[in-house]
Amino acid sequence: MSSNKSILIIGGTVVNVSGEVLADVMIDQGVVQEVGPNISAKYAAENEGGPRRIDATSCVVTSAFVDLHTHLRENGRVESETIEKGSRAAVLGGYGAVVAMPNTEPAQDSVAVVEFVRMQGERAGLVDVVPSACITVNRAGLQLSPFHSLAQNGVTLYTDDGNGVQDPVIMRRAMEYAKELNITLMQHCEVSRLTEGAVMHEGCCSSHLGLPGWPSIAEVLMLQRDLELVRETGAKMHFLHLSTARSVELVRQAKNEGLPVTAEVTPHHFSLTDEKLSGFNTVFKVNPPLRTMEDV
Amino acid sequence: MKHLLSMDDLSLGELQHLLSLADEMSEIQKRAQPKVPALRNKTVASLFFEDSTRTRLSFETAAKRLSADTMTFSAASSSVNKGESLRDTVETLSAMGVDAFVVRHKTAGLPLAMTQWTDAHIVNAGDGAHQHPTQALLDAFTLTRALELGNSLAGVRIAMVGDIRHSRVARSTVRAFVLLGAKVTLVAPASLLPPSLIYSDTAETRHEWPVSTSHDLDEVLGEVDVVYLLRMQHERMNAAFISSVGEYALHFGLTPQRLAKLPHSFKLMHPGPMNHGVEIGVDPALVPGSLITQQVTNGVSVRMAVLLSLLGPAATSEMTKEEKNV
Repeated sequence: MSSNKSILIIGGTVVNVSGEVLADVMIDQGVVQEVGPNISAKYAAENEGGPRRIDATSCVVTSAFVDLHTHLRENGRVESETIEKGSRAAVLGGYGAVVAMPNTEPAQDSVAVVEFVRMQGERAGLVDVVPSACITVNRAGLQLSPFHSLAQNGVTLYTDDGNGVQDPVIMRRAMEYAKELNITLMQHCEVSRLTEGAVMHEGCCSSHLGLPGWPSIAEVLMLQRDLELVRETGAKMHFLHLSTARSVELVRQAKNEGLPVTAEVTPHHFSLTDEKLSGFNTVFKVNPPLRTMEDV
Repeated sequence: MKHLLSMDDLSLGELQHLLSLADEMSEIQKRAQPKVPALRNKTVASLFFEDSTRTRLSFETAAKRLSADTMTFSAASSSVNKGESLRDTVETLSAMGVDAFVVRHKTAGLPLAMTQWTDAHIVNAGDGAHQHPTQALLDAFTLTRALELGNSLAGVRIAMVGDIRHSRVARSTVRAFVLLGAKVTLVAPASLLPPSLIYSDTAETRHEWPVSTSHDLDEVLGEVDVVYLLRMQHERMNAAFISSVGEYALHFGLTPQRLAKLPHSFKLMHPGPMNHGVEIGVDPALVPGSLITQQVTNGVSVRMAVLLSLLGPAATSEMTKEEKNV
């Protein structure tokens, strides 16, 4: 977002890499010019041609957040979300950019669909909507997406989203392309054969409720495979919403070894456990599932 | 007690109360005219979304012997096929005036969810692999009465053999047996035990499953008073739980050779339906200690006791003299 008019944000708590401080922020031509306590005195009042003033008393002032994982559902499920509605929610929450996950219908596996998403984002005009693209056509795990065409059109993030890429041959080829094109692959780690019919973490609680369990090993196995493939190919890889302590340990180890990997963990996965499901409350049924006390 | 959803909800005292009440019901059933007016003007609806012979008919018989009106719902010929939601179905039936729903569904937890949709009493007649509490009650009733131990199974050694992992019967009946003081051993290949017993054998797991486990039926048979066989479903080999039905039968089936090794006084139980030649390779009719038919007979008494304690006069109080008689 840029603005030709200068803006002065007054009295907020500025949070940046060096910590938090009570300060004013001067922005001109869309660029932060100065941050400091009580700098507002230096500028002319708004009605005297000075910058537009925004009172941020008791507010946090920080650079906009980036959400790497949003489901904007356009097209395919526009009854639950659209790019415009998602953009509004994002900007209200302090986000400046969101990555649109590719599990749309049709899936974001072609230049045409990716461009449509980007265009809708621009039309909404509230945040940067950054489309990701699929690793395989229709996220089916069988045929590679047109990486060259997509990369030429500026797509840098690729994922089959909820469908982890099961076939090691497809994954190895995708990494070869990823290395060559300097793009990043994002994996939802789940060996699907180990989670057929599963609805919650496999453990004490699922055994008690008689529900088919989703074992931690289903995540760990795919993560380990992909880490070895990264080691071999040198491709950049991001692991989506990891849920087990062992996964975190493996990623930490890989980073220490210098592999080009990153990962994310969601707040509910590090603060809640499968015990929440003991009364069959499906609010706590998430993918991947909530794990155990050892994992949080 | 408003609902009967899970054996976990019953204290030892409540369990024993139901067993004693079942004695009275059993006595009624032996009469020439096995019917009492206790639940006259009450309506019991059975909602079976899964196939069932004994449980559905057993509940209906129990309701009729207590003079309740019964309503039977069959999912196959209902508006469920027109896409009506389960919740709408339950609310629709409730609106007709139902006092209790007896429900069976493949989804674990559905009976609990139903308690939010209706004011009627809910009786769980089997939800997925979760619970089947009236089976546990009839098993406890059958065994305590066969062993003439009153309302106790103190010190009785029971082997439960088979697919524990997918069994709602195991989840309910083990709880009842343990509550009454029995020592239970689960006998199955590791793949058919609950995953927590295999992968996370913690204090928490032991609390949920206060049992011992074994993978060797022959070893266990010499040390038990009761053998409780579970149904082995043929489809289980599809997901690699077993190599084949034949391999399972060879190692975990009750064969004539294994029967010969059991003491004469042992008791045999099975919740039905049986897979002959799989978990049971002998004719149960020729096994002197078989309680399998009694389990079915007692099922009616126990379900009468449950319906009466949920719906009866002053719910849970003893029947008056007048009600006991026709």
